[in-house]
Amino acid sequence: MAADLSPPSVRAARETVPWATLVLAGVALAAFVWPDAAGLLVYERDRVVAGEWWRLWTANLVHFGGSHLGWNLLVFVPTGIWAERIAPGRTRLMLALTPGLIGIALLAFEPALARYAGLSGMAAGTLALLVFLQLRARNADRLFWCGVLALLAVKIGAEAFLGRALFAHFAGTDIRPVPLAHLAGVAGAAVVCFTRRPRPI
Amino acid sequence: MNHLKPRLLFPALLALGGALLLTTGGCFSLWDGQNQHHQASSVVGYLYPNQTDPLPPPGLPVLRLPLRVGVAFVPSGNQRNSGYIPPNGITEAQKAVLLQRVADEFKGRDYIEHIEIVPTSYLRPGGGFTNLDQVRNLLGVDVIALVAYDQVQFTDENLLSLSYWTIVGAYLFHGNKNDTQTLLEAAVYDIASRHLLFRAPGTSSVQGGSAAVNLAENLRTDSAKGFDAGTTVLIGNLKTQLEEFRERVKQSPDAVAHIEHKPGYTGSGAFGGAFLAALALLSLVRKPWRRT
Repeated sequence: MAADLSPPSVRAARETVPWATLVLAGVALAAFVWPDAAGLLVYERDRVVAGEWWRLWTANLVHFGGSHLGWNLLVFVPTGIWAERIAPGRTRLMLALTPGLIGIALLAFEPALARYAGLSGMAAGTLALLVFLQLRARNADRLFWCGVLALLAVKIGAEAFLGRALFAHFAGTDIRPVPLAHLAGVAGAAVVCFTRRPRPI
Repeated sequence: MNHLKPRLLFPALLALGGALLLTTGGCFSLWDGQNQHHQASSVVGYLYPNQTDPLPPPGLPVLRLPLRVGVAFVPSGNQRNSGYIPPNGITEAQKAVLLQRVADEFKGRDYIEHIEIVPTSYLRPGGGFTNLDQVRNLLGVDVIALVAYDQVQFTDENLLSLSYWTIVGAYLFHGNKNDTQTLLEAAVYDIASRHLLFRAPGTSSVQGGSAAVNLAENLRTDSAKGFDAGTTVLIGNLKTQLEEFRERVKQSPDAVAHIEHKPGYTGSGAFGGAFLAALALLSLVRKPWRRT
């Protein structure tokens, strides 16, 4: 058997099990097939104010439809696994804190928002965290990762400016994009990434 | 070993036969002289009890999203014939279970705020839209799905029913062939505007057999099976009709219904296929020798 000559950080990344990402994705799938999940977990401003505070966190795990869930998972799962493999502690901290941060941001700065659900804020957060981690590492392809960050910024900015989804199509006609959720996800990733010392990737 | 003498054998058999006829023979009164049982309720009879030619409501319905939806079984009978409860009629408990199944299938949709199961006790036979206005005010529903039903049960006796002349035969042999035909119909109304938004049917057919002593019980079971199977079909058709209604509203909002949004909006975010495609294009410029 040939010896593994990879750097220790690469070997460690390979051995890391991205359980936090997989657990959150599994819970999102379970919430989708559980008929009462939306009633109990979705962000509803009136109910949050009335004391159902868990909705600030759990709203990120429920979805308005199969395609809504599917597209979000397609971004969240690969970026979450990648980020968790190379920086497990920071990624898990981000996954634990960001849902609450998104919920609090919506409650504080979007008073007209009555209902919210979806993993997209978290997906934006994991994608941003992956970009930040790569940009802080010396061996990263800076042009590519800057491009990814620019793409994410264009999406968030355009949705804020246009008031409609830029890359996605919602099944419901009355659902509007909430760029603040994506912005809060990115902010959570930035806080977690830049307030801790970088580690070589 | 004792043997009956031949001259005593015939009287003994005669006595035994007479005793059997007296103790085990009988005539089962089947189905109270009828071979058909019918139970039904009607949306038209409930909403327009005294009108033979109801006029269509003026204007267009205004649907304010997300909707609060009620779902209820239409009470059977009308004002003149209120209080009729058929002997094998569907019970309130059965109705609640069936309505819960319907409600569960439509929960979680972004344009539905909540679904309220309205007990039949809230509806008066022949109550009409005045009664629906009361329900609207009491339970806070905007739209109501009224479920009406029509179930007919037939039972026919076959050759095995000859065995009913003995008690054993009436317990053992399936001398009755039962046929249960069920039609469910859901009509979805906007209460404020009195407009019928869409409707969907659900049908089922249950066939079975039974012995005389189990006839009533088996017919009740078949009745419940008929309602259950009909509800499954109804749910599928309701989904189809709901999607068609949404398409009609999208394509010609000025001809079908006006859509408004309640204060406060529903929001979310998503990464569509276009975003992933843009990422894939971006990855083409990535230097392959520096991939991590």
